[in-house]
Formats: sequence, C-alpha cells, structure tokens
Amino acid sequence: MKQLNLIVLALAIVAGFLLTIWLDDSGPPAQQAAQQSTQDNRAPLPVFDITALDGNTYKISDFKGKIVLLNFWASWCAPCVVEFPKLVELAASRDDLILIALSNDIDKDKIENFLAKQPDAIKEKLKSSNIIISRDEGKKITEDLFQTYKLPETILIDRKGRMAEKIVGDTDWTGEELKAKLSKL
Amino acid sequence: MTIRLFLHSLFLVLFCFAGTAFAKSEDIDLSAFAQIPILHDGRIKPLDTFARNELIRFSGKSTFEGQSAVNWLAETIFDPVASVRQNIFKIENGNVRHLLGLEERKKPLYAFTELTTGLEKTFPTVEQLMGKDAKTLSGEQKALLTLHENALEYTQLLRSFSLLLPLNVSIPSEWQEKLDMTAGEPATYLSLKKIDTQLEQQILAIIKKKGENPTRYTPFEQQTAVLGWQIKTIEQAAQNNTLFRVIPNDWDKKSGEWIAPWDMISSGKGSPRSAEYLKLWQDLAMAWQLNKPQEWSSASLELSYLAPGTLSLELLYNQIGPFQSALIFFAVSFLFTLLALSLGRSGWLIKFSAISMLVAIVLQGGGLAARIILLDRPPVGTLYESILFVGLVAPLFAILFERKLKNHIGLLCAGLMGTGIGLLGLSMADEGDTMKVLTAVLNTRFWLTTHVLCITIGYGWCLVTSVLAHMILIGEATGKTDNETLKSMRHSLGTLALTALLFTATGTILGGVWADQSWGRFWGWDPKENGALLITLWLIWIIHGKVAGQISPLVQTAGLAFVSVIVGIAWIGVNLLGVGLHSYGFIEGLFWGLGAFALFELMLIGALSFRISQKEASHETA
Amino acid sequence: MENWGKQSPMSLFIPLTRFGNRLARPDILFWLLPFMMALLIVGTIAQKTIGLYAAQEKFFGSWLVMIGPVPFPGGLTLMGIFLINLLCKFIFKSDWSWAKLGTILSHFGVIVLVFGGVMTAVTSKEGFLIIPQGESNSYVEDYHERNLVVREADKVLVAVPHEQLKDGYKIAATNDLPFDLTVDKYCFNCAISRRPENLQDGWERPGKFMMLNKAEADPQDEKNMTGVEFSVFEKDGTKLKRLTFDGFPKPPVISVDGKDYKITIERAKRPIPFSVSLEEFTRTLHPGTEMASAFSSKIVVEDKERNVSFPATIEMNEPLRYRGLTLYQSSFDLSGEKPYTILTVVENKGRIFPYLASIIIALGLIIHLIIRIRNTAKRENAAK
Repeated sequence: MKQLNLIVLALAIVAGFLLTIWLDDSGPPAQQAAQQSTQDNRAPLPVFDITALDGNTYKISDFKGKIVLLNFWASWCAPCVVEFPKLVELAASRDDLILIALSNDIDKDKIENFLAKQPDAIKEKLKSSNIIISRDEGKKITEDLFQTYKLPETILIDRKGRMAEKIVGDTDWTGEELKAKLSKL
Repeated sequence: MTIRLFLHSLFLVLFCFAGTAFAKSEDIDLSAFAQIPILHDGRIKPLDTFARNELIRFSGKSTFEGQSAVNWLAETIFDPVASVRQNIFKIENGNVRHLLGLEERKKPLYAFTELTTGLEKTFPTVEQLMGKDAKTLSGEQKALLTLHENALEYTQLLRSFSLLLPLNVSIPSEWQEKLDMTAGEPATYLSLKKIDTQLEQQILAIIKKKGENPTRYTPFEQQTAVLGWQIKTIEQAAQNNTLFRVIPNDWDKKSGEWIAPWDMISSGKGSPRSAEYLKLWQDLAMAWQLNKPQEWSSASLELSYLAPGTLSLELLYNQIGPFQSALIFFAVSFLFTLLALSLGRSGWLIKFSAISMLVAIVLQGGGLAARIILLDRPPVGTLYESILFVGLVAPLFAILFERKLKNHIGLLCAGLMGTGIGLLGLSMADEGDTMKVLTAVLNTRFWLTTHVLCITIGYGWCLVTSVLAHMILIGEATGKTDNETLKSMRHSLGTLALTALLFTATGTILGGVWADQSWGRFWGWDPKENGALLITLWLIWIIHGKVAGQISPLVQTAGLAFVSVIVGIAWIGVNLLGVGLHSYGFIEGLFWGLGAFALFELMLIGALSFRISQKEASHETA
Repeated sequence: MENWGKQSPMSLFIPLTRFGNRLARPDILFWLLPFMMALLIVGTIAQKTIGLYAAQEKFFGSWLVMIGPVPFPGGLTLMGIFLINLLCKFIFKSDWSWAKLGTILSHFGVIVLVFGGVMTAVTSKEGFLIIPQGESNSYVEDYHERNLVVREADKVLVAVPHEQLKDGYKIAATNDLPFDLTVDKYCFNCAISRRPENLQDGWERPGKFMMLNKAEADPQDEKNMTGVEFSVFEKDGTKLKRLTFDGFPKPPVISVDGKDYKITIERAKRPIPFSVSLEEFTRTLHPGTEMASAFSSKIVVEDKERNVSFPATIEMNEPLRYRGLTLYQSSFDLSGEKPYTILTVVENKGRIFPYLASIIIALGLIIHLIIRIRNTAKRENAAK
C-alpha cells in the first residue's frame, strides 16, 4: 500500500477544507473605487443673437458666468402654457440664473396676449431683469439651429456657456432633482 | 405596424417625392460614403457593411445589377421613387409567390411596387403567424413571415430621409413668401414645417367656412389643403423610423446611442451639432439627386470623419472577404498535395501547395485578427466564430506535425481540414452580419480568452488527431505507406491524442470554473458541458485502453479517427437540442449534415479497419 | 506483490491489499467509460423533453435509472465505481517515479475533483433572493423545494414539503392550529380554469370561479406552479373550501377566535446571516438594441451579528463572496413600478476543490507530455 499516496491525498483534502473555512470567515471585500462622472462631455453653445420683445438685442455669449435656461415654447402649446409660470417663479427666485423664453409664435400679438392673461404675481415677476421673452423669427434658432420640433424643450446651459442637458417637455421645476441638476452647472 | 403601411409607404414615395430627372453619372465617388458610420445591431459599422447585409437579406447577393451594395443603398435612401421599382426581393418559395399573385420569371426577384398589394392581402395571415412559436411554422409560413419582415425593414429605409427629400408640390406664392425660400429651391418636409401651424390654422378656417369638400375651394385653398395633407402624410409614415441611426446623440454620449433622422425630430433628441450633420445629409441627398459629384464628395467626406479609425479596416475586410479567399487557397493546397502524393512526385507540386497553404493561413489569421480589432473583443464569441478559429488552428497544428514527420501527410491534413472547416463556416455565414455583439453573460474578456479559446483549440487538436488517424488507416489499408512511416505516425498520434486531451480537459474544467464564477455551480449537466465531457471521456477511454492493453493498436487508431464524430456532436450537435445555456436553435441542414457525416465516418473507418484486420490476419497465417 | 505478509500484525492487510489491487485494475475503467458515455448521451437528449432539472435528477443524480424497459446504472453508481477504482489505483498501485509523475498527478487531481463533487452534492444549498429597489431582504427562497405553509402572524405552524403532498393528505388540528385541513386536490404544476357551476358549492370567491387543474410538468422547473385545493374543518363542523398556489397574490386566510391563519404555497425559505438591500439596479443595453450588455446591482450588506455594514456591486460574472455565501446576479424584473433584482445565493463547502483539482490535473498532463516528448527526442538522438 502506498502510504505516501494516502498521506498526500489526505493532506490535499485537509488543505482544501482549511482554505474553505478561512475563506468562509473572510471579511467584507475590498471597496470598489467609485466612478467619477465627467463634466467634460458638454458641448459648447453655438453663437446666436436674441431680440427681446422690448427691442433689446443680446448675444447668447453675454450671459457667461450665469446659468442659462434656454426655453423653447409657444402660446398654442398646452404644456408650454402650464410650464411658463413655473419657469418664471424659478427665475425670479434666483439671481444666478437667466431665463430666455424663446417663442415660436407667428406674431408678436399672440405672445403679448398670452402675457397679458397671466396672473398679476407672474406679471410682476416678469419684470425681473433675468427673464427675457423673445420671439424666434422664422423659427431659425429653434428649428434650424437647435433642431427642436416638439415643444416645450429647455436646454440647461452652465456658467461656462456649455450645454449640459436638454429637458424635453414639462418637468418639476421646483423639485429637488432639478435643484441638484442646477447646482452642477 | 399599421395595416395600411405598405400601400401607404408606396403611395408616399410615388406621389410625394420628386424623382430624379437624371441618371446617376459615373463620376459619383462612393468610397467616402461607404465609410460613413451607422449604429446597427449594437455596434458602429460602416455603411458598406450595413448595405451589404441589407441587400443580402433582401436579394441573397451583395451586389445589385453589377453595382455595389452602397450604390443600391444610396439609391434607396436618396431616390426612393426609383428604388421601389428595382427587383431586389428574392422569393424562392413558389407557394409564397403564388399567394402574393406574382408572375413567374427566370430569377425570382421582385420590386417593392409588385409586392405591395400581395403584402397587404396576406397581412392578416402574418399577424396570426407572429403569435405562434417559430418551431411550429412550415417552410412556406416562415418564408412569408420573413418576406413581411424584410418589406417592413425596406420601408424604414425608404422613409429614412423623407424629411429632407424634395417634395413633389407646388407652393402658392403666398406661402413661398412666408417660407423665405428662394425661387427654384425645392421644398422639403423640414422647410414646410416652418409654416406648419399657420397652414393648420388656415385649413381649419377654410373648413369652417367652406366645409370639407375640396371642389368648393379656390385653387389657393386647394393647394393649401394639399400642402397640409402632405405634411401630415409624411409625418404619419415616419413613425417608429429608427433604423438608419447615423447621427450621434449629443445629449446621451455615455450610452453610445446614435439616432435616426426622424427619431431625432420626433423625440426631441436634436442639438446644434446634429443639425449640422443633418445639413450634411441634406447636401448629400441633393448632390445625388442633381448629380453633382463635387458636392457629393465633400459632403460624404465630411460625414465620414465621424467614423472611428477601425472602419476603414472593416471596408478592407469586406472587400477582401478573407475567409472565403482562404477557403480557395486551402482547397488548392489540398488538391496539389493530393496530386503530388498520388503521383509519387514531389518538387514543384509540393512547393506550390506549401505556398498556397501559407497564403491561406495568413488570410485566415488576418481575418481573425481584423475581427479582434473591429469587435474589440477576443475572437470567439459565437458558434460561427468558433468555426473560423478552428479553421485556423487545425491546419496550423497539422503543419506543426508536418515539420516533424516530413512526409507531406501533415500538409495534406492541413489542406483537408482548412477546406472542410471553411466549407462548414461558409454554410453558416449567410445570415447577414456575422459580427455580432454579445449578451451580458458573455461580456467577459477573461473567460472568452481562456475557456473558449482553450476548448476551441481542443476541438482543433482533436480534429488533427482524427485526420492523422484516418491517414494511418488509409495508409495501412491500401499498403501505400511503409511500416517505418506508419510507426512514427502512430507515435505522433499518441502525442497528439495526449495534447488533445490536455486542451479538452483543461477547457472543460475552465468552463466549470467560469460557470462557478458566474452562476454558482461548477457543473450543471448543461448539454455543451456534457459534450465537452464526452470528448474528454472518449479520449481517456482510447488512451487508457491502449496503455492498459485492453485494445489493439488498430482499435486505438480507429477510435481516435472516430473522435471527429464525437467532436461534431459536442461542438455542433448540442446546439441543435435547443436546450440549456449554449443553444442556438434547431437548424435543419446542420442536423442532417451531422447525421450523414457520422454515418460516413462509421462506414469509412469500419471498412478500413476491416481491411486492415484481414491483412494482419493473412500476414499472420503467411 | 509486496511482502507485507511477513509481519504478523500486518497480516490483516494481505486480503485488503489483494482486494485493493483487484479494484485498481484498469479493465474496470475500460468497461465503465462506455457506460458513462452512453448515460451522458441519453441524459442530454432527454433534456429536450423533460428539462434540465428533471434530467439531472433522473439520470445523473440517481443510483439506478430505467431507460425504457432496461435498468441502467445511474450517475451516482457510475461515479462511485469510478472513484473506488481510481482511489485503489492511486493508493495501491501508484509508485512515485519521475517517469510516471505526470500520470500520477493527473489521477490525484481527478480524485480531488470527484471528492469536490461529492462535497458539493452533499453540502450545497442554492436559492434566490428577490429584492425590490429601495428595500432589503434576508431570506433566500429555494429554487425547487416548495412547501405548503400555514402561518399565524409571523409564526410558521405547519410546513409540508411538496413531495409529501397528494390528494387526500390530512393535516390534523393541534394546540396551535384550531382546525383540520385536508388536501382535496394537489397539482405539482397547476393550470387555472373557470370553475363550472355544478362544482361551485361550498366555495367562496375567488375559488368559486377559479379552479386548479393538474397540468404536465414544465421542463423548466421554476415555471411549475404548485397548488392545492383544500377543505378546512372548523371546530363547529363547518367545512370551508379554499385554494392556494405558488405566487397567489391573495392567499386564503382562515380566522378563528380572532387569530388569522394564512395558508400559502411557497418556496422553502432559509434565512441568511445578513441582510441585503438594493440601492439601484441597472441594465445597460447595447446601444440602439433591446439586447442587454450588462446587469449590475448596487447593494448594501448589513451584518448585525458582526456589526459590519458595507456597500458592494454585484454584476454578471462578478459575484460577491461573504461569510461562505456567494451572491450572483442572476435575473431581474423591470415590469413593475420598481425594478427588482434577483440574486442567486449559493452555499457550497466543496467549492474550492475543483480549483485545486484543475491545477493539479493540468500540471500532471503537462508534465506527462513533456516527459513523453523528451523521451521521444532521446530515442531519436540515440538512433542517429
């Protein structure tokens, strides 16, 4: 009888058991490194001009240093109408943010009628300097430049003039999730 | 899928779009166009690959009337009016042709225009078929279903750029002013979209005033109504158009998603950059329609810059077709070696064969290397890819023992295996794009490199062992090989068998280790696991039988020759069961092929062994 | 033959050694292997009709199996003979020599492998853990074991394994259980149909309109929906007819003296020594397709016994090992409001042996090959 063989076999099995027990008792695994999200993916904003209802013109680059909400809307678009006062409230509550509401309406009267119908509180807030209401003549900015064909859409632009995110449709402008998004801009 | 889809699409194409007045000139250069990237089936590929696959899917061939697949693709997306009349749909099943009311012709290729009525008619049948289990369908039913799927895919292609193509409309001057269009500039859906709301309001006013009967309208009102209707028609036809994903999604770079033009418009995924790309596509479309080679080249070049560097490699891969080419060289090498051996001559026949073999191996290896680069993963992830890989390693191993034995038997084996395995691969390659992305469980480079390659090398080595065993049997039975050579061949056979056992056993165990890491059990009696175990057990049986003296050298050789059938069962056969983690579903041709192969081997090996045992008996009595 | 017999205390070993030597002969292996291969082939083809789990039980995990009318040794019998043969060979007939080093190592490795298999068969426990996103769970459900369970509040009063259930099975009332329960109909896999009018007597909703019927077992064992129709006899003699089955959203509750007794069919549950909560489940798709490219669950493990809590990520091909349990990402459910992750939990004391064995076997085969090649080279050089 090969005693050596028997011993070797027994040793291997015992070693296996010891290894198993040792592993069973092991502590929590090493922490996996958390992954960083890159902010470098943001595309820069193209250059264009905006003419506000009151006649002033602005270059979009004028607003660097502040958060810009570029909102595409129209008075005939139902969710835009619902969203409008919420946006105005948001813009009025912060001074580090500019709201540019770019309308797709065919003529100025429709916009002015719409604004006139707003509640007084909103009308007051509309006077803030960080809210710009404008009309997109010939839909050049909305459709040709930004390829926006369904309203409303809002582009969140960071302080460095880069586009961070696009929000399609109405959203909870007063909620925590949005606040978190804005804080990253 | 709306029931009026096919007629609707045809209608749209024929009546809404202005066709080209010119035939395409020879000067349009498609080389940059072929490189433009598209996201399809989970990976970025050049339009060349996409076009070939789609054309093969519809017509069975990768060229159309002498022109390349990308040419056909450009025609389809930029000139749908012309494309719908091209005979690209191959319908081989006679019953289906009859069902669709098609005329019989020499080559069963039909145009979309010829199919639409029949497709609409058979749609209710197809709806029912879609709910059934694929295994229960007859050949004719499957053919009908496939035709409908293909036609649907085709309509997606037709409508991909319907938003940019010039429309067959006459725009009243009042609207032209509002559109800010220069005279002669063609109207497209996108440009008409600008006056969309105004048109709608105007039409509502017209209807309010005059009702819905167009005969009561003024010409201006009629034209306005037509314009509104056309915009609506095009929009409706464009629902769910997500096939032609050529524009990167700027808002979601992490997912790597690319979007189709219509999807971009309707789902709010547009951005300034995507607008630029769409403009380039518009330029491309116009250049095609108006036959402007310069504009075509610059736009297609611009778009091709989006492609990652590997795409030009893929174009090369498509053009060369390394595996089909390698097959030819393997076959040539085999024939020449066979000729040399049967004529008993050496010299230039063998030299030529060796060069052919070298070219074949370089092509096969190069093809595999290209796939590694293009797919960015180890080379074996699907059954087809395992065939390609064995088609490289088996001839290579045969060459190795050729260097040992130096009697050209190895070269012969290499040629035989390269050809045989190459043919097997060819029979499996006609399902379009063979470069697939893998499911989550296979998404692990480590195990694809270790277990899968080890097992595939094991298969290859087993095949080499089997072929050498065949050579020994044939040599001994025919008396053409002398005893000295036979003895050294038998010794090599023993070494080969052991090596085969090493790789197969290790591969099987590695498979178990992977299973333990992924699903919590080392061995689950899965058919593929059982198959690998079967090969291991067979090899152990034969090797042990010889060592322990249970079987004679003849039986050992015969047993090792039969490994080919065992490998066939384990490698291909288990997939046919349709069970377990490795199944690919039942492919009828493979089933009968495997059965025929097994039978053939049984008879061949049986006959050879019988002959040899007779010879040995007569030698003993002598 | 060794001369152990010379020493009288060792005289007992003579018959043992002779017996061992007989058992170690290679002809046993030679006749065993075809049986194993045949069983493998038949058992694999059978999976097409009866499914993986049933085929495993019938062919590979049994001692005897009937293939048609013919009795055939089962997987366990064949493995048993194989192990004995190999052990005897290793213990009685394997001289260590450099020439034979490779083969001996390989045999040694195979013994360790089979031993690992035995350990696994005996100690492994498998089950699954379903965790909705934002919640936690510390009970593992068995994949195959189903029980008929009667519970009062959280206390389990009765648990009957499904193998014991059949038509007419009786559960008698006890101190804790104030009623008798008789199983009228038991089906391992039930199909639900509408109850015909003439059989509705004595039933209340939903059993009044729903009837369980015995159906054929599904090849995929997890899909079998086990259920029972039963009668409960209360102390005052009233007979209530109810039904319940695996996954029934509203299991029947019998109220007696203000206490509620819930009757369910459920997979056998085992607690694990820590709780797992799911923070987030993500499924990544290959872009532009519906094919998944990766699954991952971000979890937090809370071990109250050891006062340890840590986060971890479990992904396809990357399990979590903790305290002898291994948790794998096995499946998920995205159809409801919240995503659910389904983790496979395996406890297996024999899990290390296949790894050990693989290394030994591979080493053995490589050494054997090297020795053989060196011998061939020596011979050829000598011949020259």
